[in-house]
Amino acid sequence: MSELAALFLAGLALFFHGVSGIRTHLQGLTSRRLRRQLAAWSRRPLLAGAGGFLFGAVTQSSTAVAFILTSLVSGGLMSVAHALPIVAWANLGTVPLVFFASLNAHLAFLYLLGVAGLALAFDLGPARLRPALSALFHVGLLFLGLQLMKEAFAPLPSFEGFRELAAFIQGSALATFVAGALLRVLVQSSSAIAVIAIALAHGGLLSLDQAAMMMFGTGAGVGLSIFLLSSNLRGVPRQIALYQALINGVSGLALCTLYYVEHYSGAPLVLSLSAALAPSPDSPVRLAYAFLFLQSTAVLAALVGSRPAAAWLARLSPPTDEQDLSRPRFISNEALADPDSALELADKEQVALLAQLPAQLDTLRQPAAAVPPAVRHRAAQTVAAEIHAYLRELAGQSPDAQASARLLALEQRHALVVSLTDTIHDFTAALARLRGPGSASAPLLDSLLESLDTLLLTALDTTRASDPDDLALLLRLTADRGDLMERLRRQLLASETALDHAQKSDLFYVTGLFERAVWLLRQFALAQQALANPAAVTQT
Amino acid sequence: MQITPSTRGSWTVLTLAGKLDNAGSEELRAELLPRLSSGPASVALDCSALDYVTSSGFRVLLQAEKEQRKHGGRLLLAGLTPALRNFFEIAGLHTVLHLVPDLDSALAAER
Repeated sequence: MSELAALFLAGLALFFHGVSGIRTHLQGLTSRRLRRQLAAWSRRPLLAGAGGFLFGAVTQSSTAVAFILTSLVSGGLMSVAHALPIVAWANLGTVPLVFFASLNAHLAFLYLLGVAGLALAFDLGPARLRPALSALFHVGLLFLGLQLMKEAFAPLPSFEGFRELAAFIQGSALATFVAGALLRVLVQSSSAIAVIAIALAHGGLLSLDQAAMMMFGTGAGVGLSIFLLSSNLRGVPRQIALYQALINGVSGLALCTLYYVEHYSGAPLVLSLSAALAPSPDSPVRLAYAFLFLQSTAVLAALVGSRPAAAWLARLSPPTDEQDLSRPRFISNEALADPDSALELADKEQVALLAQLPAQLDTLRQPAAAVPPAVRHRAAQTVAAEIHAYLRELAGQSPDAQASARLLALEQRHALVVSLTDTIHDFTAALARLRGPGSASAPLLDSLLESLDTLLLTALDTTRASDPDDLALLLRLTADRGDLMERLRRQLLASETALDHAQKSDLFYVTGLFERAVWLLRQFALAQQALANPAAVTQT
Repeated sequence: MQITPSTRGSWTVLTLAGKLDNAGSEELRAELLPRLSSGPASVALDCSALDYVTSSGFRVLLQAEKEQRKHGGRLLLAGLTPALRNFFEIAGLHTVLHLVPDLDSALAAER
């Protein structure tokens, strides 16, 4: 018995390692391309469905798809309403694995494992194919694990303990439905449980009806799992998680109901349809069809209810401040087709990012009312990353000389805005630590705060009107003040002997950050000059 | 924030007292900018009773400097306390605004 338990454990481990490996390697291969493609497809229902199916097949987890879509929605690449159908179709994308698992093709998968494993071990084939080879190797591992589990289950009917267990759950489809729901909470993959249910049926531990009910239980399990795990989610991620819970819960409960209606009334419903499609009574393919019906019902529920669901979810869980601030306001994938428009939008997005910085400083004046600085900073980093990816995308489109010059100037300015964002965040945090009631250095710290705010607002002026006087003013205001700052630090340290070492260190740190911010704003002014005449930059 | 206007020869003197914060900046904007944007004018700000300036105050002063340059006027700030003078230097405004230590001697010299 202990040998069978070890066999089962080893099979289970290989199975889950295989699922995780497929996900990791295929995501590495296609992630960026697939994300962009999904965003483009999301506005066309058929393509959105195909994209969701493909993404579900690649990741083998509609929860993972929901998570990735959350980042696309947060990044402003698609709306929640467009993301929901993709999540729904991702459920159906997990079905092919279950069909493969139901086929008796272990010899083919052993060859696959051997060939892919040897190619990886001896570094055969081009390097660009390695992620695909790794994914295939993990497919082989998954099926080897499944085979081991089947072998572990095979002798079970001859054991006394098993016969007692089988007698205990004999005829109880509801018990396997509940077991499926609970397992889904633990395992987080409906297709994995469906495959295990097939293996259990193959080993004789469950009847086909019970195995089907275990699969239906996973639908309810998704809802239960999200109910338990989503309490820390807010805004858009919670909307998408609740949607997943809703459509899977509806499909699980609907098929459970249909099972009992069929069982007691004799009306030909889900199980009869599965039997008609796979006539052999022992065929595990019959169970794969049951899983297909479960996931199809989830898609159907989504198609019927996604529009009202989007409105309801938006009311139930509106976007958080961070999600609002993390959404780019101007850049759009559609504009990439026209480089001039795309550059204009990237310019506006950079300026909008810069315009957030005075609000970051304002958190020091109104600490209670404001969005916390750390939240603002995380949001700014998200937008900055989107702008960076957008500029990279434009650079990859071989822009003409004029567009290339402007792109170069925008890239330079973006690096400065990102550095400024980080510097202002560090400055705000350090100043918040130092500004206690009765702080000896309060006048200096206040003057740093108000001065930096003035310089930031002046820098913003240079982006809104093409007045050369504004640029000249910013250049004069941001002249080097290293000697002045050093003098002020020395004066303060001499007059305030009560400061401890940590306070002195913080004081040096915050004044250093101020000087860095001023230097960056000076570089920003120079970058503005370059943007006003981008051709001059490439000529020099 | 208190703003008291007076005349000294060809100069309009605005005596500022208190804090040049958001509300004070709006008052100063309303008092100062129309004088400078309606033609060449000479305006002196007596800052000897000024305690504090926020970024919005600095912005009004920078806007006023721009207006006087555009219309060929004159603008000077007199009597800043040493602490406030440091404040202006940290913000870099001493490179843009005409700061003088004492109002009387400055007006005498400008005459």
